[in-house]
Amino acid sequence: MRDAPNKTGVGEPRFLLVTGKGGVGKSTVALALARQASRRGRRVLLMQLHTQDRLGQLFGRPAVGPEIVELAPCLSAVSVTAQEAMQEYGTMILRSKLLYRAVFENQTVSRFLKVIPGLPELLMLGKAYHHERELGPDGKNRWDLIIVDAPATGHGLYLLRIPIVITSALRVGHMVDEAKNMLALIRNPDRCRIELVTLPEEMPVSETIELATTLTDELQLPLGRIFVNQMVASDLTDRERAAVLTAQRAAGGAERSVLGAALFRHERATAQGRQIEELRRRFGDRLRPFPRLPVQALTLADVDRLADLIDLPEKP
Amino acid sequence: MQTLSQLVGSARILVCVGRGGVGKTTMSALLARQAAASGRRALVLTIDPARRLADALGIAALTDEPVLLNDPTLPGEMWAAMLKTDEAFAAILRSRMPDADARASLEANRFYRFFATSLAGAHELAAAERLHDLATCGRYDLVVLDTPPALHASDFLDAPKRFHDALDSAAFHWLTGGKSGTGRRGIRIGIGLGLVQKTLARFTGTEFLHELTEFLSQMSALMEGFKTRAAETTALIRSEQSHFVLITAPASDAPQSVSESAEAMQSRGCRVSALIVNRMMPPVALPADTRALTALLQESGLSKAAAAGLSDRLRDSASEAARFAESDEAMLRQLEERWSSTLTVEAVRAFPQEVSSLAALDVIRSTLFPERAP
Repeated sequence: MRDAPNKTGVGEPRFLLVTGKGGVGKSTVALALARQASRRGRRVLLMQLHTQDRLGQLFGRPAVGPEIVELAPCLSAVSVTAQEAMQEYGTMILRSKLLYRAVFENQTVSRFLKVIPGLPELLMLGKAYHHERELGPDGKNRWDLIIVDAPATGHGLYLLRIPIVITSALRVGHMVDEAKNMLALIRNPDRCRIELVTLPEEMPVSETIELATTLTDELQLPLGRIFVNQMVASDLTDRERAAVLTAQRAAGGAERSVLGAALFRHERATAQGRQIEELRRRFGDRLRPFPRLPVQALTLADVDRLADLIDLPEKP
Repeated sequence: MQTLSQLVGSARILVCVGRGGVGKTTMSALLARQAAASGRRALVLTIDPARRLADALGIAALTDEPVLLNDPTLPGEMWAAMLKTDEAFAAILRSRMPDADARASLEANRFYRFFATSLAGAHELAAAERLHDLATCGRYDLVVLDTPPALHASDFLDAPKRFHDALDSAAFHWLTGGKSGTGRRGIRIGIGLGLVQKTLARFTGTEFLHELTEFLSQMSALMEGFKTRAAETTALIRSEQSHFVLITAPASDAPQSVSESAEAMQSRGCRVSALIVNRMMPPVALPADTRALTALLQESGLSKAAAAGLSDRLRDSASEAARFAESDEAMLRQLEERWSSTLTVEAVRAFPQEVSSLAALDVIRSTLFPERAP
């Protein structure tokens, strides 16, 4: 087990892959991680892999596309699709855009390429890998931190499996070389960490535990932190809860409604608490609970509130 | 326009569509259970790899073969099955390959072993075939299909076609040295086969390319069977007896995602018949002041100071809950305005606890189907 991250980011992995099942707030966590680091002056590249872009809207600008754009000081973002990754990568390897176009952009060939299993995923991951190695004009790393907002669980695991499958099945070729490089990156705990996102509910929690086991035991990948979104807190003491229950029996109208809301919240917080205990037994201090914020749609300021919580020691 | 009760009582197939985290699996199970409660033989088929249905139903494990849930309170039958798409796909391939040698050669192929189940659309194809088999076998009056979470709801419908298109593409025949005249296709593509193979091989290595083309040509021999079955499944899904049920939660982008899903389904000739807005926060009424609340809490055993402090906290917490509820309500109204003339729109309130037992499922069912017999 590795130590919790330090505040400066020095000696921390520069490559974070954020994954989890759909609808748990994966992109929010990826952005919070990006904000946390970029506001401390680390140059961050946030890469969205096959996810719907919400960054544009949050930053009041057009949707983030395949070109890297700077959203805020030290924070850049890009949306990667398999097709664009393929073109960029293909041109790089073939060292000829013309040849690439002639072969790969031929309509019939490109239709065929889509069925080569694993190729699109390998190329998307390959692009992320390339940015991890990329140097700036000063000869130093162009990016201090690369955050990959990976597809939801099923597909995300598939993505991470690709380099392993390729290196075990094949011996020669560019794909094998690339897969070996990628494997060296994603298996190295000094360079990479897989961050998981979940919700404090039974099904997402059991899936997260399953996912973590697959990641560490089967794929031998370095597990990072476990972010738990949408935590509801209830500050009712046992004595207060008993009083609320008694009062509810006698109450009517708005009072009854207020007491009911308090019990609803308390019951939900208690149910979530059981899930958090389950997660803590498995993950210990890797857990990072994020509170549910009292808003329907998160703004950038809300994401920053979450970002501020990332390094805070959890209250016991 | 049919009510949800009518749909559950008469449809042959219900396809539940929605994003992850909206309670799709729970709703699928609930619809099947309601059909069973109204005397039908209903099967819920989940293709979500995460075993969520098993969790929701409180049973340990589901298998590919439908399992009858033993519940004497149901006049009908409720069955459940978990579709393991990789196994299902392998089974389909085997059933289409009666020749043992060909089967052995396919199974020895590394592509088959590592990637067959990850081929574009293979999971959805397997799901569609299984749906077809189960819906037409005569053992069930209704099959409720819980679709896998997808970026786009239409992925499920398009995947079989994508799969066919890809395997059937001219380039594929051409690259595998298809017997259908490489010359003509070569001219259409406009570049030489040698160049394409050489360039692709720089990426993949010749070994990889060789096995890939081998695998694909074996697959292409199975194409006719796939095509026929896919056409049958598509016809079944588009028939009058099949209905799509959209499931959403009141997130800020719900109206947009519902519109996108509904239009995607409709444009593919499918019948979208119901919209369930799940996880609505219950409304909260706020008192003008906290005096009555403080008095009630005091009568319930708290000191005056403790009661006053608590009622302030409760009021703050209740106004937060009220804001959530109002915003959910506004979302529901927006959805109703847009859809209630063409779809049955139903709201299901959020529960503090999760639905992980049949009893909990029945609590929600009674709110959706209040008219059901006790």
